[in-house]
Amino acid sequence: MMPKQPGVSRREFLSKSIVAIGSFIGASLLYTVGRFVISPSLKKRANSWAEVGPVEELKVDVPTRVTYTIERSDGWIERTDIKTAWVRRYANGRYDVFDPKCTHLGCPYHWDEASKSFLCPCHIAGFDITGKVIAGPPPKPLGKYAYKVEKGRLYIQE
Amino acid sequence: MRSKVITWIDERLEFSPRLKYFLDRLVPRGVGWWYTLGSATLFLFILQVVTGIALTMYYSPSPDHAYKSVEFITNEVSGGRLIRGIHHWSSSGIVVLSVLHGLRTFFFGAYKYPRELTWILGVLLLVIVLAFSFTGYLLPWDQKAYWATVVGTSIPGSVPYIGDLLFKLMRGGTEVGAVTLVRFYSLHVIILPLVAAALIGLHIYLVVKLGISAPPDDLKRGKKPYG
Repeated sequence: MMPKQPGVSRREFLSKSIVAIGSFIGASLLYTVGRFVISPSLKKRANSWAEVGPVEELKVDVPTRVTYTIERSDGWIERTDIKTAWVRRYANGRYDVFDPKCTHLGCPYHWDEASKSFLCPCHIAGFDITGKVIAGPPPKPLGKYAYKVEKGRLYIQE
Repeated sequence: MRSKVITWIDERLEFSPRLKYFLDRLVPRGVGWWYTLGSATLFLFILQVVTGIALTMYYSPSPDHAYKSVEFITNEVSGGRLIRGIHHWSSSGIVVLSVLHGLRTFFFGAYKYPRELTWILGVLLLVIVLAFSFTGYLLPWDQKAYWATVVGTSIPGSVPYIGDLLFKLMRGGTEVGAVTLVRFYSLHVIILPLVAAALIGLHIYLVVKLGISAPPDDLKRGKKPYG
């Protein structure tokens, strides 16, 4: 047995070095793997413009349900989704493009011509033609999409 | 230094004397770099487990998606190229290191009584390592992977009498296809890791229990291995 010497012993130095090097390797690995796992969750999806069709087909002040397709990538899969939206055409050439999901719990609603309102059957919710809540539990008015008209055709962006 | 929580847990688990028995054991004189090959192999195995689990987060074992998902890992996911690279190169490293570890054991005569069982488990582990390499090679589902598996599964087909059965068992039919890919995936990520972990556990248990054999030169010269 070696007599106890002042300062750090060889054994102590080595065991501390092992812990330090091991922690460094572990931390680098944890950082790399953590970044790898989290990565796609934080990636923003760029929404592209989707063509809805010619504007003449939309009646003025009568909301119309339109369908359109968007190409999007889902991880490593390229897919085509068929989506819907409600479009109100104003006489002055403006449009309202409504997100087709009720703001309460996401049910699809429909336009009721008799009561001149959007009705959601899930929890008896109602919205007026501008999207404002007039009945039921929804916390906020209907969501709107961006739109543009080019050469007489309507394009929307979610 | 040690927190109260750790002391409280350790009082019940009595883990620290076991850890001390595992780490602070006597090793014979003259033990050097040659004796680190087993630990190096174990380190690469742990690295393969960590990076492999990460890769399963995005890999899709189906002929329609396998190649695309690997491409996604490599080009879209942060650090994907690095994780795949580590898994790829460590797999070669593990083969090289296990063989060197085996050669060291052989030439130092360390497989002799009472360590024959350690040697036998080690040989089985080498077979497992090669099985990992073979099944993992198919997963990227590119041309190289596909044809390597076509050839690799044809070779056991030439075994007398049972060759045809082996060939069909490995492929899950007569063609290398969807069934082959999924069974290779299952072997690679579930069956082989479980078997490997069990064998490694036993192998290390024996190493700790029986101790490391002294270098042959020292034994020949009649030196005492310890003290």
